[in-house]
Amino acid sequence: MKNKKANILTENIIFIVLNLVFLTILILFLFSKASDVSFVEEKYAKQIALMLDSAKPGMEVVLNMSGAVEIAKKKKWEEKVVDIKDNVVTVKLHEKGGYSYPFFNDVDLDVLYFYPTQDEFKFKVVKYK
Amino acid sequence: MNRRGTDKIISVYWFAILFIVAAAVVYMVVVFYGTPYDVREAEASAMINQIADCITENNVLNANVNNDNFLEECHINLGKEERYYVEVRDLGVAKGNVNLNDFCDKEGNKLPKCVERKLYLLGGDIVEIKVVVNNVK
Repeated sequence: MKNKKANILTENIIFIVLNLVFLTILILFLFSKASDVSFVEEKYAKQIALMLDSAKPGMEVVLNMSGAVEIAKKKKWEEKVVDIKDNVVTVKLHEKGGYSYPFFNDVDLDVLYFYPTQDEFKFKVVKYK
Repeated sequence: MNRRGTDKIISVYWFAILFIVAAAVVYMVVVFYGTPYDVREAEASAMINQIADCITENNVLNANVNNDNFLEECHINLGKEERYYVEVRDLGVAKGNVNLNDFCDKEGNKLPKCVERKLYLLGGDIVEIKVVVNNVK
């Protein structure tokens, strides 16, 4: 009688533990996807590219990059977060990451890169190339 | 004895349901986060605005712009990836990857985005500007 009760208890415990393991893996997967840095890199790269596409000479742009800077600091990335070269914007927030997006507007900018030392990326559209 | 057998069957079903739910959640998350932000329409609109500004002067068509000097006059860099196709029929302008034009009558998220706008000018002229933008490779 005692053995039978012990068996039922063990089965139930194994069942509950397996369920918990399963749910934990699912939640960890959701969190890992939600905090995916490549998503943020893509967002900023496209945002900057669209701003440059609509920009005209003389315009001054101030972009709040605090979200990106926070991630770069967490990932201990101290190199260029934004790099604009040959009509392509590249946003990189960690060593193995990076997302590039091209823009068509042929403009010259006074600042072509951004380091994670301040929250705002300021640049001026100087002239057409 | 029978009760224990039924319990085991129920737990198998329980895990089957859990797996189905997990698969659905994983599928939805992968689809949501795997789909890129689609800014091609905004990009095409910005390009059309820029073209509209450069092919007009005092609200009439600028006759100095033609197929040869279009990119320089409009300050457009189509890049090496051949992601764009631009057409202004009234000026005889057709620049970029002409193959993208074939997708204009088709619909699909992964197909190039085709944006057409009409520009109404003084004197009753109507200029059609078409821009096709493809995904980044």
